Amino acid sequence: MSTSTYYELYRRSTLGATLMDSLDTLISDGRIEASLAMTILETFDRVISDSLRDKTASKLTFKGHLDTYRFCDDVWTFIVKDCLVKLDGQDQQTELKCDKLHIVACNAKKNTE
Amino acid sequence: MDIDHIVSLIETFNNSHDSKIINEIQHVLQEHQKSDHGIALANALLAQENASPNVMYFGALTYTVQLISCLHNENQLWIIFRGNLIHLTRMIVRYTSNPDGSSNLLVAITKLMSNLSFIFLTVNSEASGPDSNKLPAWRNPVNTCLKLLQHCNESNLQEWNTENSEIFERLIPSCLNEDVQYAELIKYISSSAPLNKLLLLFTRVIVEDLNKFQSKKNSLSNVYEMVHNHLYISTMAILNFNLENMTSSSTSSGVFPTITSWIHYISMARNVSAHGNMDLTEMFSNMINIMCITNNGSQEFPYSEQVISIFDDLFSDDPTLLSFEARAKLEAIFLGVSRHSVNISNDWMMSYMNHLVTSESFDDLKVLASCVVDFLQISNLDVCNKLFTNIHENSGNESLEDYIKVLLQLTNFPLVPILQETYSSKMVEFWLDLAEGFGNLPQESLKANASEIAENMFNQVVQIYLPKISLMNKQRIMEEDDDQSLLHEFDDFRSATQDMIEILWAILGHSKLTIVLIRGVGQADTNVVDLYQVEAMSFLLAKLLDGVAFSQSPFISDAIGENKLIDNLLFLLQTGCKQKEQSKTAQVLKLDFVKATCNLLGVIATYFQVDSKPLGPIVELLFECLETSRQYNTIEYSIKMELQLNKTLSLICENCRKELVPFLPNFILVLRSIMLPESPISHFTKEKFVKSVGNIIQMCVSEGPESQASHISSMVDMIGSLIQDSDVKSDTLSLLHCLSELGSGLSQLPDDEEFLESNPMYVAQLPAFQTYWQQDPMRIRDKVMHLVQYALSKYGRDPEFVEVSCLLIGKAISLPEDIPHFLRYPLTEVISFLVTTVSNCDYPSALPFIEYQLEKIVSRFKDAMTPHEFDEMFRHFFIDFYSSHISIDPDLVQSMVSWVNSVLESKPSLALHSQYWSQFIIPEFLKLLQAKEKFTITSITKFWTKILNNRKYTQEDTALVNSLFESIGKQLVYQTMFSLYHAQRSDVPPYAELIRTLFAKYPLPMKDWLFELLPQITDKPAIFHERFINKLSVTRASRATSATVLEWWLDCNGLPTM
Repeated sequence: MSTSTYYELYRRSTLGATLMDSLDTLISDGRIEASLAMTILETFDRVISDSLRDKTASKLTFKGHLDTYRFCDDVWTFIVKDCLVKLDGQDQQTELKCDKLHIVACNAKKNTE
Repeated sequence: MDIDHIVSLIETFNNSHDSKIINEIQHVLQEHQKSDHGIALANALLAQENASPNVMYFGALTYTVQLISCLHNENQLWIIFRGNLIHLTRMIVRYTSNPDGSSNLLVAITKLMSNLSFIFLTVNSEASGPDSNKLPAWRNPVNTCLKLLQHCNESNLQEWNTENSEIFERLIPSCLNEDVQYAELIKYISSSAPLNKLLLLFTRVIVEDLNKFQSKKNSLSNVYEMVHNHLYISTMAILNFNLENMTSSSTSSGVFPTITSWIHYISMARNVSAHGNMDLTEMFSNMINIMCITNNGSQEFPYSEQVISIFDDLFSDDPTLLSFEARAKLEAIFLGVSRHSVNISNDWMMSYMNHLVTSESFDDLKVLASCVVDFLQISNLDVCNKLFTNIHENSGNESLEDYIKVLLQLTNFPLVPILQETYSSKMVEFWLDLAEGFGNLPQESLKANASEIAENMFNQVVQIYLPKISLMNKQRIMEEDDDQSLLHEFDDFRSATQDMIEILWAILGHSKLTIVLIRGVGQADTNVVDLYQVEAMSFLLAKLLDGVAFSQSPFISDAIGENKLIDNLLFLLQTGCKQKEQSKTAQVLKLDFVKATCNLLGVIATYFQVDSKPLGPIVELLFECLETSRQYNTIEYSIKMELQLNKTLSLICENCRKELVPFLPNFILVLRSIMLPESPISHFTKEKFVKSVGNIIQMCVSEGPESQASHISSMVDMIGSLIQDSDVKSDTLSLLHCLSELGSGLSQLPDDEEFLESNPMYVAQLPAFQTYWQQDPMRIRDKVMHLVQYALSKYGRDPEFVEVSCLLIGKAISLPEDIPHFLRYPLTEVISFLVTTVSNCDYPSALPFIEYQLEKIVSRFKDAMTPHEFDEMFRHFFIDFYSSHISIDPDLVQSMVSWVNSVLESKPSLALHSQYWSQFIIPEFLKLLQAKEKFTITSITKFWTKILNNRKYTQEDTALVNSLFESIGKQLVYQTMFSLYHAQRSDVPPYAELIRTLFAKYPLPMKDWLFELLPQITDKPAIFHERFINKLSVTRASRATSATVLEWWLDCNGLPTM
């Protein structure tokens, strides 16, 4: 049941940024209106959010030292140091080590302002 | 405008399959729709009595185009508004008089309703406030529709057109906001089922559109108020009438979708407006009533599934829309017990579940389970408080116990999980939340016996889930259904249960959970081994024992030692690997057996440091399975098993290298066998096995370095002879990887400090080993170098060979100086190797691997390096290839800049005092600012930022950089701003970071430079740039600067904020 708009945070992903670049080009070339670009991005927000929720089977776990955490404006931020990230796919597991992991997490059910 | 021609175009457009014709017609029709005669066209098409549905829909769509794209003034809107109302009224009369024969009108009717909902939103929104809006507010589209229908009937249908000034100019304005009394409304809908259906559709279309437009963030407060004060009242009257009369009248198919849409709308609106809060108590009460309707002696449940589906959505998204009383009533209906003394029987629920089970309606049972569990989640915190704290003391403890009993029974629903029932899987989250809630309760609020209650309850939960996650159920799923998604769902259920068990451990502890499971795997109480139970318990144990320090937990170690845990695990492994059953189901289950065993053995690898007795049989069986799994399993599954076995072996070898030293001969024996070219074992397994052997050899320290060196030498000789004999490229590559893995195995220490503390003999021997490997009397380094060069002479153009060779020769570069290693080559030898390699390889594909080694060299040897050595490296690896390769390949440019950046991070003076600094790096890297490739932009802006702001500068370096910026500062700013102006949106942030650093470092000159340079870059007015510069000069934070720069970039390029 969609009661609110979707987060725009995936626009900063590689896929989202590339889409915005393409839309900029189309607007600059006069091939689409800015309003259509907005509608496309809203659709992108919805589809990527739903797809990541419904169509992904991978799981990520991590272990490290929690250095900083805060909760502001419904957004959690965690900075985990000396982190070991395990990515579980269907059959294989990958481990990544990183000095600092920055996690930004929002409520899956967005509260509209 | 020739209407007949347009009608024929519309028909051709809808019926043609020729894309060229379709495109041409689409273009012509769109021109008509957007033209000045668009409204007249819409009217003409909609007025046609015998027009096809396509033509009528196109007429309604033309109104939409005019509304959205061609609206210039209020008058135009008013014309479209009235036109839509006239056509809608006429079509409703046509439809209601002959619903079966006019169903093709529904598409056009829906479109006209959607146009009117857009108009409803437009005329009522704040944006078109009182000054600009000549149109009156529109209170209630449903009432307007009913009022117009009073004047329209089959006999005067011809008069209902936009040419009729009586209707167009007088009737519509007068009916627009006329009220319809409740009795009148009910009279209409009770007398005409088709009209009832259309009104439900109309109100649904309006709120769905409102939901859609809400995302556009228009200020819709007035619209919400209008809906709240008028449309909501009519809609609730219609919906409640329909719900109350469900049993007597034919079911209206529009009721449930309209209810869903209104719940969506109110759920959204109440978060954004004070007028969004609308009471739905009566509607929900009616829904509960019709949910419980049964026909034919409790054999039929006509509305239950639809109502439950709506409640399911509601509970998972916005449960508080339902009042407390309604929730208490539902609780009693669903569970038969209530925490709120509601005295309602759950007979209906029992009959409904019985009906679903006997009729095998498992999908409906799934919806019911989802609904009930989502409902339970709402009151999870309340249940937690009542169960474990004194807050509600003496308030119905008995009913609460009954309540928990029902929940446990529900969890233990007697069907196969996932395949037939989903209560157990859905309840995982409930129990997990309840356990977490218990853990978060303040100690002082707990009842005296809270722990006892929790332990008793969660113990039962564990006992319920053990058989539920058994692979026996997976087997049933595979036998009954070939659907892969069910299998994935079952695996997810098992993982969720594993997560829940981890939380329950915080309550039950090792004594009541871990030890119980260890005894369970060990089957202490029985003589017959139930493999399914062993697997399920091992699966959960792997989670609980992960990270346990066995040396500090004697009671867990003792429990493992006292029981037949290892024996049963090995039996499970043997069954998984060595049973010759090859059906699909058997293979999947056997693989799961192997996975569970391997995981648990890997997790308890450190236990064998405490008790090394089981290592012998374990390693022996792992070897045996590794060598023979292909005989008993299909290739697909034996490869997967091999991976599992190998992973476990690696973990055990890594953690128990000292304990495994006595087994080294066995390992080498197996290694020699699997390394043979004819062995079916995969390259990956061979490589990891070599690493494991390397781990053990590392601990062969008791007899001095010579003994270790002889082991290494024999390994290198064995691999070397295989390389010499191999004619297969992939085999040679894998053998090089084996050498590299041997190096890795000998350079790894588990948890360094702890390991060194607990192995004093190893520490004591370190100096002797260092001296030995410096001298390398057996010339192992030379042997390895020779083998690498031999392989490169054959396959040196292949980047994979360059990669593994670089890794091998550079293996010890980043190791701490005091750790001895047989591959510790002197710097000159490594550089010489890289120089030879770079001149013989395929430069573009090999450079990243070489560059990586160069970065490691600078980081490791920076203190000893001089600018001259930097020059040599820069010349050999980059300058010599610049014009031929690097300048035309952005990836290579990035590699080159990244290396210079790594030097700037390690020891900047090496680059700053290089002869190439002013000759090549500064002029070329200035030009590179204009690159169009993302990775080049990122690395080059990082370079300039690093030059400007570098904590590792000496005083001399700082003076040099300052004088550099005096001469090229303006040019750098020009290049940066010019490149930024022409960059893509996603490339703005790296430029913004550079601009921020420039401003922070040179605030005054930067301002002057920008004032002078920006007008040369864009033709925007001076005031525009001034605003930007002033804003930049007071902005310090990275994100704020990025936003300011992006704003300037958007304005310059005429693009919208997204």
